[in-house]
Amino acid sequence: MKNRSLASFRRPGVAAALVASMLLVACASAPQNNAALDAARSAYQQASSDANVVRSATVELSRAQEALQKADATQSAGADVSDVSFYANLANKRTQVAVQTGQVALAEKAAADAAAQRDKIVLEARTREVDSQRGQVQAAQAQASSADARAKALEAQLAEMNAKKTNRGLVLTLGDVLFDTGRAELQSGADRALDQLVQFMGQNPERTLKIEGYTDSVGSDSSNQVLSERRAIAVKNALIDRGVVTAKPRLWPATIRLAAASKTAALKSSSLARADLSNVAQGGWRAEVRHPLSFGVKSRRLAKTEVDRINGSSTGDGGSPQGKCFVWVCSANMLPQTASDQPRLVVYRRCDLETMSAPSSFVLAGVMGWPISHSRSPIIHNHWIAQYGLKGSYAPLPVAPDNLPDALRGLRALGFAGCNLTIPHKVAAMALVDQVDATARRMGALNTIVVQPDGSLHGFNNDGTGFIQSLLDEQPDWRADTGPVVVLGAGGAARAVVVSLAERGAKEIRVLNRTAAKAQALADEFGAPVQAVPWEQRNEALADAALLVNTTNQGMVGQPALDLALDALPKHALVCDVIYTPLETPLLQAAKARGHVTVNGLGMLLNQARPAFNAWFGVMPEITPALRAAIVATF
Amino acid sequence: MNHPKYFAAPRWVSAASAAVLLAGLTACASPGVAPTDSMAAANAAIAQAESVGAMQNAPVEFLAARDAYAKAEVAVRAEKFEEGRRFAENAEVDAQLAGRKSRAIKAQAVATEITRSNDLLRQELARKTRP
Repeated sequence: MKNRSLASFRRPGVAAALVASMLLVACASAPQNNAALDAARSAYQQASSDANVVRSATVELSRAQEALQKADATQSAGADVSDVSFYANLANKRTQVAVQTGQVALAEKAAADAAAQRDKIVLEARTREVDSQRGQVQAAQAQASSADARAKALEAQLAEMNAKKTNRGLVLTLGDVLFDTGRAELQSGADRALDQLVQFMGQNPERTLKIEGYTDSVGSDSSNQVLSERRAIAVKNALIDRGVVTAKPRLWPATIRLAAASKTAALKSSSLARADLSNVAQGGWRAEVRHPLSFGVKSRRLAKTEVDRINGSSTGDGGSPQGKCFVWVCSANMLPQTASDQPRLVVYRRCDLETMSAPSSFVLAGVMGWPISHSRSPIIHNHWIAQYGLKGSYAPLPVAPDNLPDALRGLRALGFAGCNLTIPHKVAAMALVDQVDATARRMGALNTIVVQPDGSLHGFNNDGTGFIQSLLDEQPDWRADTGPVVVLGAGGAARAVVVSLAERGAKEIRVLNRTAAKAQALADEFGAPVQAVPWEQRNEALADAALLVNTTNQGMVGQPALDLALDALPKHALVCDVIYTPLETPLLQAAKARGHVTVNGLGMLLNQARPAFNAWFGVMPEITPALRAAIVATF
Repeated sequence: MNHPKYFAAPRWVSAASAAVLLAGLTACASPGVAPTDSMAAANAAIAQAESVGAMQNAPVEFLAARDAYAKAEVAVRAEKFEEGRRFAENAEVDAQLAGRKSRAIKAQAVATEITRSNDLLRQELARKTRP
């Protein structure tokens, strides 16, 4: 039964196989040698023994092999010769594709090698150039060591450039005909003179440059005025193209603002503007005091002091012809939108390249933090930009901690004048700038970066000066050395406070922190005037204090009030809280109730911004009630 | 009782036989499935070759590919699917060949050009650094 059933089911299968093989035989002719197949085989063998083809055309080769196997199979199955030939030809062509793919790879490699070779040539040439320049620099230094030789070289150079010494400084006429009539495009003949000038500027970096454009008498005065300005700009641009650096061109808006303000001023306006220009034309910059007669003795003395401070030596009419800056005193009514009637100083630093027709540039600055939306700095700086009629903007810059190096490197490329830094970048930025101011180094943190004319980044910390100034705003006769200071907290703000107090001569600074070790670390780091006092003794530590400063977050919106009894604090002591939300913390409320003079954190916030604004925009701004109101409105 | 076990093997054998039979039938019989994949592959290869400049750099192979593709279309329309598939495969391989040749020629030209400009650069630098 078993066997029968198996056999009976097998039979139809065998029959089907038989039918199939009959069918195959039916449409095949007799097997024979196929020339196309032989050609394909030998082509494939050759290609597959070529290392380059095997490496770069793996897929193509395997497709060729596939077709070849099919041709073989068709051949051994005894199929029609045309079938075999089809697969053989296909295999042959696919082999050619593989070979050509190898050719592509070889050619592409040759191109890449040639490009690499080119880079190498250029690099070598640059290295040679740098080496030869280094050689030149060394030669120049050797030459400079002999002052006599240098002076002679200068003389010779000036003689070659046809420079004339005048009471305006050295006057160099670039050429009689540099422009076509009515045009402001430099002719090619100017190249040599400009190159010489650039070389001269490079060798005499202390020299500054003023460019004047002239026209002939053809045409109207007004069109010639415009044309001469455009020609001066053309020369300036040509010099910039040749690598002459324009130092702080961003200071121009300030000058222009003064000129504009002068126009609106009632009486002495035109003489003020003219005096400004003529002073610049004196050849080189120098710090000096100019003032309308209406200014009193006090204003003049103030200005003279400022000049001396900036120049670092006595100046004035007999001063060095290459001073560092230029000081202007003007009365309040010559500046728009100021409420105060105090005389003020407007300081213009020198420009290494200046044209009186230079277009005012747009100054960019901002604050980097993460998060940044809470920052009040954009409100403060943009308020001042508007108040002083400057062209510029101050932006909140959300920068994640990992992106800080890239962001700081980007400042220069983006043409930023600088930026502020807030949490969490203040400490990390120290390692990323080119130069750190001594105070900032002591504080161990930066809050301001100023991009220098050469593109390097200088870091500062104005938190301390902002703090001190906020004390002086409330109590102008305050001094750091009148008695012990109690500082609560030992974080970043505490460091700024401690450093600035120590710099101003505080004799005893008691630092109290809930984590005693942090207070002790501060005391160990700064030594003598700084002492760590246990948190438990906070009430007793107030006994003879002249100043109490809270740098903890206790009392801030959402935080519990500071646990402190003021009973022991002498009545004359100043009480300060760096918190500004709320403006009046429980600590300040209690102090006010006891009759103390109190200082809230808003003053510190506003005062730390002033030096930074001055560094970027060239104007030392005022803190007005309108600005305070604008900030308070955001709380 | 054991019947299912015995039925299983014969059924497989018969199915295999049927498959062999079917394969034998399609091997040399024209009607069947249209060579859609081969046509698509050929079309793509031609487009690719054209995009790398095969018409300019390898016109013989490229035109052969187009010709084969046109013939494949004619065959498929006449429902000669096997013939159509073969033309399509020829079109594909011709197009690939044209494309590779064109790429090789272009890459070689680039290499030659850079090498030549390197020589010029070298000469120029040698001239400059000479005092």
